[in-house]
Amino acid sequence: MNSEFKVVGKSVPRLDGLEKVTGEARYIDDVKLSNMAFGKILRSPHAHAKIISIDTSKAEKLPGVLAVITAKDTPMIKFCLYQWIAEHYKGRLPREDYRDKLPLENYKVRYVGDEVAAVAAVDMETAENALSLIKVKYERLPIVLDPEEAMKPGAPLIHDELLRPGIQDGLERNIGISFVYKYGEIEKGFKEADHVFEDTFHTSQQHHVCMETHGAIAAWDKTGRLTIWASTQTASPLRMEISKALDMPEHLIRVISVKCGGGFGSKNEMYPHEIIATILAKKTGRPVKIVYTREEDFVSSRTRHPMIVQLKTGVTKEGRITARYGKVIADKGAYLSQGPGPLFTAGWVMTSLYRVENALYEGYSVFTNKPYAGAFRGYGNPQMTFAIESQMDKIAETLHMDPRELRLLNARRQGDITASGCEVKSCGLSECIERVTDASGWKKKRQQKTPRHGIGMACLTHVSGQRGIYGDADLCGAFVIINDDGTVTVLTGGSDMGQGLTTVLAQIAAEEIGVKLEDVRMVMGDTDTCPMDFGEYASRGTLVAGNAVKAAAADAKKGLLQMASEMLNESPENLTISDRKISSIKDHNKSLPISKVAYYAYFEKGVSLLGRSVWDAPTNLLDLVTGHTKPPGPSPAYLFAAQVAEVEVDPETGYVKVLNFTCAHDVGKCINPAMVESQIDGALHQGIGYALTEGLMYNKNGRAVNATLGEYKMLSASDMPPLSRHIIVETIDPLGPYGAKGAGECALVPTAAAVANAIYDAVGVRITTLPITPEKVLRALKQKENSVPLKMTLK
Amino acid sequence: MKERFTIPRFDYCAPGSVSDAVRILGKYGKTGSLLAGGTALLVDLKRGDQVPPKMMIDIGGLRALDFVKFNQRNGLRIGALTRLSRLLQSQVVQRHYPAIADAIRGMGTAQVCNMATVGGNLGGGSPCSDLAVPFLVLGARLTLRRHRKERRVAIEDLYIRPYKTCLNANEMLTEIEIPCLKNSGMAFERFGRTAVDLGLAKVAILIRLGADRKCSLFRLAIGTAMKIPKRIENVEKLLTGKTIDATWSHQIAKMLEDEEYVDDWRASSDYRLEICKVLTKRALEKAVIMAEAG
Amino acid sequence: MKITLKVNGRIHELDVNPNRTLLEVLREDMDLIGAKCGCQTGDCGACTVIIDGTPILSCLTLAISNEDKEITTVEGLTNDGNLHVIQRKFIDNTAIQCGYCTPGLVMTAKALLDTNPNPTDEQIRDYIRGNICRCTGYTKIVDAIRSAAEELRKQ
Repeated sequence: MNSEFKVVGKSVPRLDGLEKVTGEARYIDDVKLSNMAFGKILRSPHAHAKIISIDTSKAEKLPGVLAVITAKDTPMIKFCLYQWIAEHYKGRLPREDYRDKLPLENYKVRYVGDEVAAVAAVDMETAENALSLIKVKYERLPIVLDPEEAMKPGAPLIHDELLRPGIQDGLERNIGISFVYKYGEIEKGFKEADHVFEDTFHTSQQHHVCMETHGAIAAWDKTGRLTIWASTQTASPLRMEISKALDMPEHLIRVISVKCGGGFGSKNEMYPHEIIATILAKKTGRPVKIVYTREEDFVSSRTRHPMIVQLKTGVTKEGRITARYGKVIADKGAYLSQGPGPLFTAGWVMTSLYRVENALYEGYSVFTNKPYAGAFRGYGNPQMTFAIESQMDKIAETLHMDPRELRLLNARRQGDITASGCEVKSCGLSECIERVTDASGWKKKRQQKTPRHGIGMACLTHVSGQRGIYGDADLCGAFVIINDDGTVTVLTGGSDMGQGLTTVLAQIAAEEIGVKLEDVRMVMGDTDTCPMDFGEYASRGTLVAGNAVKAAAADAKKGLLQMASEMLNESPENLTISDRKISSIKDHNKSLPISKVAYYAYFEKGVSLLGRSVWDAPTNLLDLVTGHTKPPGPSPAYLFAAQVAEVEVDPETGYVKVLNFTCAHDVGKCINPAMVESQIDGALHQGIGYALTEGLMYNKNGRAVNATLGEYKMLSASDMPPLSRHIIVETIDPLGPYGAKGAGECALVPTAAAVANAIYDAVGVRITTLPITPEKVLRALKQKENSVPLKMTLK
Repeated sequence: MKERFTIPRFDYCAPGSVSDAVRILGKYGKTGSLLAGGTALLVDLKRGDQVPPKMMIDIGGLRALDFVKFNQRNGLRIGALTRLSRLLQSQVVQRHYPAIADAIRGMGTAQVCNMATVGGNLGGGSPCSDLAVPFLVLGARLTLRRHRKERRVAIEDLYIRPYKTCLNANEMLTEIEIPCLKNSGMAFERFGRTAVDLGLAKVAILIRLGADRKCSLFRLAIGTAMKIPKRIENVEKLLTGKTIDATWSHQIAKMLEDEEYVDDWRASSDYRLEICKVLTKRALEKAVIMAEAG
Repeated sequence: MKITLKVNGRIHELDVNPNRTLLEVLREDMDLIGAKCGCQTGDCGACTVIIDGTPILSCLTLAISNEDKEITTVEGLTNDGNLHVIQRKFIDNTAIQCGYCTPGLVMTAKALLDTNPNPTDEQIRDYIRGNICRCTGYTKIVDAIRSAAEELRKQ
């Protein structure tokens, strides 16, 4: 299968492995600049309060303190990532201006952790000491922590300052955004159904817990140019956002992507600390570094949206889905950030995973006084898929169908155009379902039941690329330069947060031109030198950036072959590049080293071997207001997978041990199998955690009670099962580079449902709220037994 | 947001002997802190959970208190500055006091086991101390030293309330003695949400059975699930002197319902009660097997 | 206070305040940035170094407490530009993604294999469970350590 390619499809070691394993790789906290100062942010201890006064005088006097700032020292320009989307829908949304966050708040604080003031000092110790000397007077306000409570009349209003008199745009009910999407004929669909299932699911506030906390360094030069060293997934957009927030032109801002210690979605938007660092740097005349403590990172970086998902599905007695109604209340937290993205994706999944023609989706994104949600691997999909896939098993049981058969019956197929208008050009869902159930011993394990053991499955679909986050585009630019000695330098704006994009793009460039992988050097994420890429989200890296790099490489190769053709007196179509040589296909002895041809180009002909491309996915916006798109829809490709979980449940304690996971993933052409496997492994870790242990929890004052690595429970190396070799299903996508789609983001989407389904298979209880703690399982078991139920408080 | 990267400043000394250490501690009292493994104290200082000391008294290098000694007559003597890893690796502990080894295995990661000390684990008065639980059933006695004076207390008297022990501000724990417990069985069980967890409940049992399966000694201790680690005396009184039979687990479970359990965001008190019942049942089975093996 | 630390075989004479952790001094005063700060509670293991043969959380020990000890950081594993077997196996087994946990894990793995040259997979997992990785799900890390153990036993 891989013999046609030299580099693509091979599990080559990642290019930056050496620097990481020797400790040489520098992340933000490892970057040291001359004369650098250290910043710390003073954060609100209250979940909701008016800021009455801030006295910084004592802090300013502490020896070693260089500057203390509050809101008045900032440009006071609000920001939120959603504004980029909102611009596009001007006139069609309830509001024009959705920006709601200041780098330092001046009027109110809206969650425990909100930014109030900041300090720069000669060292970290002084900066930390100075913080406690800043005195803030607050007037505490009533708080609301539950989104359903927040929507009720009389609930504390979180963004009262954005209310417009006489206008009801949702803010008066703490609703940031809402929409209703209609597909087909829902009433007719439900009438056709022989059975209707209605369930409600609750998901938790999962946190990314990147091992590297957030941080940035900002420095100005004497000419007024700003440089930001950022740990980011989106360097070019960050420059755009900073430019707006500081009201300064982009060419005077340089964003340098430093090695990134994990992102998972949390590093794809501008944060207050990035602006705060630039202002402190301006005031002090020195570079300023801000890094978050772990506690800060838990509360003041973005999280997954907790969602209440109400799902109603109608099926015929044969199991065909006839209609689906979904209502999602997403707990937004204190600020808007990405806006409704995850809410939107949740709605999209409803009609995309399975063939559902008649549907109605209502989504509400509701403010509460808690740390706020943004983007997290899966982006609304894990929440809705937990609901869909849990319910599918319920449906299967009622219809006496094998859950596998029910899914195959309704599965999305290649060539489909979904109810929303998305064209599915490559689809391996059925193959994934078949292969994963075969490989996991599905039939046998369901029939011959080992006590306490259970097996469960779940599927996913996800986007690969997504038009519309930044205007009506989904683009990436790349330069591929064949250097004068025949080596290659690739410049593109994307980021590697660990997922391995650097290596994958290098493989694509090497394959396209015909050079060795070690002759390719990647330069990424520096806005001064790299063409714009919208960044790493929506699983777009391999597909979108991959296409840009492939096209730019082809462009550079064209120039090189043109030179070689002159030198060898052979037409370019008859030339091939391999082993550092350009040779005639017909006569291998007629060849030249690449280095010679490149030299010739530069120094004899004066011709540049610069290839360039801006690849914009040939897609159409999925209208945020209507939920519809014109084929092919907003994504160049879609991903599919199926996962099977095997668990053992201790009926005495409710403890769930995951024994094994078998996965089959459709990634299009797999560029680097070992890296994809590793990505799936990591996603399973987050997915199983989402299923069983993870979620931020709060006391009644809105303070997170488990904002430490010891108390925010994640599975340790001892808890994780050894993961089986994953099945990679390669449906060659027509739009993907070499047929490749994305891989890494989505693998946690169905995981929680697979675990929940396995638990049901093991002990006959279905838990519909995440995380599925041992206490919940035990309580459900005891209630099933009809013995005395445990006390009420659900933990 | 109290968490800090840097630890607030303090004066520092590293006394070379136990008598120097207690003399200095006596001088500073509440304003002095003993630094042993650092895994509790330094975390508290970084979290802002403890007032920074004026004087940090670094006793981590006091080799004199790093020992594990055993003889058949006097039993086990553990120096307060013995690292958990050393205690775990001790053949004597593994053979004669497996409940202690099990407690350490369940709580300590590789790094923490190599840093944390027995004295540090007990001296902070943490309600989640794993070691306290087997020590309670094993009848540990603690030596507390202050300048020119020494006293011994039973471990039952150590905990006053969460994070408050009977140690005076000028006192240092130096040694833990555990009697030789012949012909008895012991077991330790813990329940945590993951493999690296402070835990929701810990149970330890010590039991001695005669040839007729009559129980001459029965001790039960529970930790973490309740306010402080303690012996469950009602249960002990009920079962000591009785012949063990299949109803014991059930009887114990019923009596456990009379105790008070922690109710917090991690788990409800009802759930902790259920877990304690299960752990007790499992610990009893294990302890009886060991007791009968002789 | 003036102290002497022996790190990766070299003697360093330093003047440090007692409140500074070993991690801070390694990173700030010696530019040995391999050991990382991932938390303030001793939970992540990213700061793991080896002191007198045992894996220690350098964030929870004061620099001043570590005179007269042999301290090894990840920078000390590479020998004349040659990677240690463990490092090589991490690369070969795709056990690295974002890399932030990698130095700490490599040192924990070294401490393990120095004391137990033939660990079972369960023992490996148990030993490294004090190191948190958010990217890899641990399977390939265990593969790397197992593979390193095999090769080291052959040597």
